[in-house]
Amino acid sequence: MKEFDRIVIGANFLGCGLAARLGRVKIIEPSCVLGADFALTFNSGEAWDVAPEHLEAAEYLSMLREHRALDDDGRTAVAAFAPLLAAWCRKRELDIELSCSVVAIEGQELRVMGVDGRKIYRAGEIYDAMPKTKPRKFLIGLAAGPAGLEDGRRGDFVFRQSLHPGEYYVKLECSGEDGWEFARRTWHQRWARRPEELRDCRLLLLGTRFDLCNYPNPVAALDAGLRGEGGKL
Amino acid sequence: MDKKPKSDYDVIVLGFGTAGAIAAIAAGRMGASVLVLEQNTYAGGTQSGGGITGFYGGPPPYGLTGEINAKIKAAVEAGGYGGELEVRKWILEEEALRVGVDIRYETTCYDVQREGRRVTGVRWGESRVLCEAQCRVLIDSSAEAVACRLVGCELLSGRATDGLYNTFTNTCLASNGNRVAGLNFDAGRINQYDPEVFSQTMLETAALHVLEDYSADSTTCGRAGHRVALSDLPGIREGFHVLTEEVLTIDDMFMGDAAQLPDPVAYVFTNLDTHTNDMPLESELFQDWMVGASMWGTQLWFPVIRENLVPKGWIGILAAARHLGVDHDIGQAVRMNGPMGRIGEVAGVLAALAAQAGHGDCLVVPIENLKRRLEDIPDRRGENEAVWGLPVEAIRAGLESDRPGFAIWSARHQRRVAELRAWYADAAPGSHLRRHAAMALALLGDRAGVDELRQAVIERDAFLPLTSRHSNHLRGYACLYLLGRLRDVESLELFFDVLKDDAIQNKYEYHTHAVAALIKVGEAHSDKRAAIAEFLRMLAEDPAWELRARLKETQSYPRIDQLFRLRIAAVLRQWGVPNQIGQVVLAMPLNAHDRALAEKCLATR
Ligand SMILES: Cc1cc2nc3c(=O)[nH]c(=O)nc-3n(C[C@H](O)[C@H](O)[C@H](O)COP(=O)(O)OP(=O)(O)OC[C@H]3O[C@@H](n4cnc5c(N)ncnc54)[C@H](O)[C@@H]3O)c2cc1C
Repeated sequence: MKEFDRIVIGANFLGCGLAARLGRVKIIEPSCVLGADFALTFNSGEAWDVAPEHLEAAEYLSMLREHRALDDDGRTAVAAFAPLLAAWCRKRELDIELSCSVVAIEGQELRVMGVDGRKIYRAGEIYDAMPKTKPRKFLIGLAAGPAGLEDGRRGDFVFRQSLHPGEYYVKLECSGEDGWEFARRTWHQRWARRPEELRDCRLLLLGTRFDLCNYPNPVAALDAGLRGEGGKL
Repeated sequence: MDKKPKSDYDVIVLGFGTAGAIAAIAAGRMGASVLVLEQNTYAGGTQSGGGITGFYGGPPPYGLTGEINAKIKAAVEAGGYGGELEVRKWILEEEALRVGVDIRYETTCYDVQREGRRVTGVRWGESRVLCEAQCRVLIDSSAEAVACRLVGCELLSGRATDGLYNTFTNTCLASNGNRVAGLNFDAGRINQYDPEVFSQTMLETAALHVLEDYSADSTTCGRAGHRVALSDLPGIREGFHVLTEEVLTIDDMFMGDAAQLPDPVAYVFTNLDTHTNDMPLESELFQDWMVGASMWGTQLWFPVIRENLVPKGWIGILAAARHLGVDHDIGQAVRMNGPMGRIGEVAGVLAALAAQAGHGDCLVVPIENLKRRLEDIPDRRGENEAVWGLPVEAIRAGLESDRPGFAIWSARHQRRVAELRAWYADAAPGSHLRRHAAMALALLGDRAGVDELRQAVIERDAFLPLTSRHSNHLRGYACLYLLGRLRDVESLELFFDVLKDDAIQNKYEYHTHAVAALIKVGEAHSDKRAAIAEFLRMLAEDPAWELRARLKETQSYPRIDQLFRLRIAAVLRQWGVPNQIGQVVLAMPLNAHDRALAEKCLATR
């Protein structure tokens, strides 16, 4: 058994912000990617004009702008979210363990499965930053098509242009209950019946996590963590 | 919407990836009840979410993989998709659902239940609740031997010299506007079993995906386009192999030892596709093939043997993904997508047969039953004769040509010592025929050609054979390798000279092969060991000795001398020679992976 002062579950934007605020903390993340809540959902973010409260969240926002991953119209390149968050976390020397899943929580003890096998982590304080389930969620795809399609609803899908002309983040609403098999089948079936104006569009990828819309954009999530949001268990 | 899993299955498949998805479908089609546990949210693993759709060269994939691949291609051709990645996830999932497979995504395998040496079930975490189910056979298709490690199966780890694996790719998916695929490059090495090194390496190498301008397109890995997302698979090429009832080795392939192995149930066609750029640390037979004959691109039929899937001494569990029971060398071939699909199919059918027989013992399933279910694909090994069965006139013609690989390997395979010696004696010094004959002789352990080999090293012979479409090796340092292979003590000064030559072209290859040659000579000739040890110690303790090599498909030339310094330190330790090499390495700027190696080296002094 390993002991820590504090453990944050989830190295998503909220979790990284929270860990940076708390200090002396171990962050455990089930995936091998930071910021999965945006980076793996294809949630490209909105409401970018709302300034973060916290300077360190503002720093991440500047990184997005400096690396031209966010333009003045609020269009983003989701591909930038995770690598830039990694740079942000490394600067703060956060202690992150990737590919480490919580299997069960018993009081102050976590049964976890890491790359080295199963183990027990114990902490004085445990914070849960994993996204909370909601009655509705989204499965977002990335599609290529003719340049210049306006943002907005088209049939079952809501389109939003990415930073690259002719590339779109395409949202489909699901029920909070839907499993992956059902949601994926629905996406493909509806895509096959997409409106005629989208005939030339090609689906490139679907997000590999559902978008639970807990925060409007990554900076807002990071800011929330830095302000101390994220449930203490 | 979310059906609860049952408490008992014929077959549980851990990992719904390249091999595991095919295994689940194959077992389901056999009428077995199947549960899949997958940590991610989709089918296909590295071949879908990992962005690696292709089948490396060769004929189209066969068996069930071929059938499903045809469906994927047809769906892509019907339109609406930019590439195969998403279609593969969907079609694999639908094929599995069609035959009643229960799929549990976002699950974490936590425990493998057993009675004695028989596996009986699995416990896993799902939404932070521990669940369990029994099974007759558990197929571990996690690629990282997750279940096999939990149960305590014996493991084989990396190459013999230092236990390291092939390089990995911190995978990023990129689009050219029409099609999306993984960027296939090398990011260096990772230790995926050490949480700290793994996590730090993933974070360090995420920097490879930090761009100055994400809004612009660029050319990466030979493709124009832009990054669209990181993959949720880390892009690992190699890890543990499980010690199985039989382990297929490179000797079985190249030393004619395969005849002693059990009957193959299938064959897979692929090449020994190494990403290793520190070749002198690989096994000798592997280097014979790669460096001695430049055969990287040559494809062969490899046998799939049931016993390669059955962990030694265990019942009710199969290792069926890239961690199956083959050695590090063969692992570099059979890890490819086509072979993994075929191996998954073998595992699925085998598991279903064993489960349906009620005993779950895959070794007692009659081999003929298994073969019949696998479409009886005929023995393809005969086709390897095209590579090493050239008739003698063709061997001579090949040695005279600029594509000498097959001729060198045929001469070696057929032990044509007499002919090689005769051709060597007759041919003009420096000619293709004489040099290549000397190389083939050296591969046979025959010293008749050493003068020509030495001359090639002295000249820094810049001839590059054209045997493979790329990754051929310059003849000058290939001959240096072969002199080391012969433990040629008379070349000692030549090896020292190479290492003193700082301005040498291809310094990295010449220096590293010279280090390896010195170690071999030192091991074979104890009277020379002290002098060699002193030379190597001074070299490895000299902070100014710097070697760099390019990581595949990048413009990055990181330092690699630290690995050779640590190799020298390990050898000197065996020879009882005190040294400060560990400290010197630790003073270098190191990534997380190499730092851990250096710390381990210091700790084992
Ligand atoms: C960067 C790169 C480039 C490559 N290029 C080529 C190429 O060009 N051509 C080619 O033919 N091959 C290529 N390969 C090789 C080939 O793609 C892989 O070796 C092959 O896909 C591995 O198949 P697998 O079934 O062993 O593993 P995977 O396909 O990775 O499947 C493993 C599955 O197990 C799951 N899993 C792992 N751990 C757990 C757990 N604890 N619990 C539940 N599920 C788990 C994973 O999520 C995954 O779905 C490449 C590989 C890499 C990494």
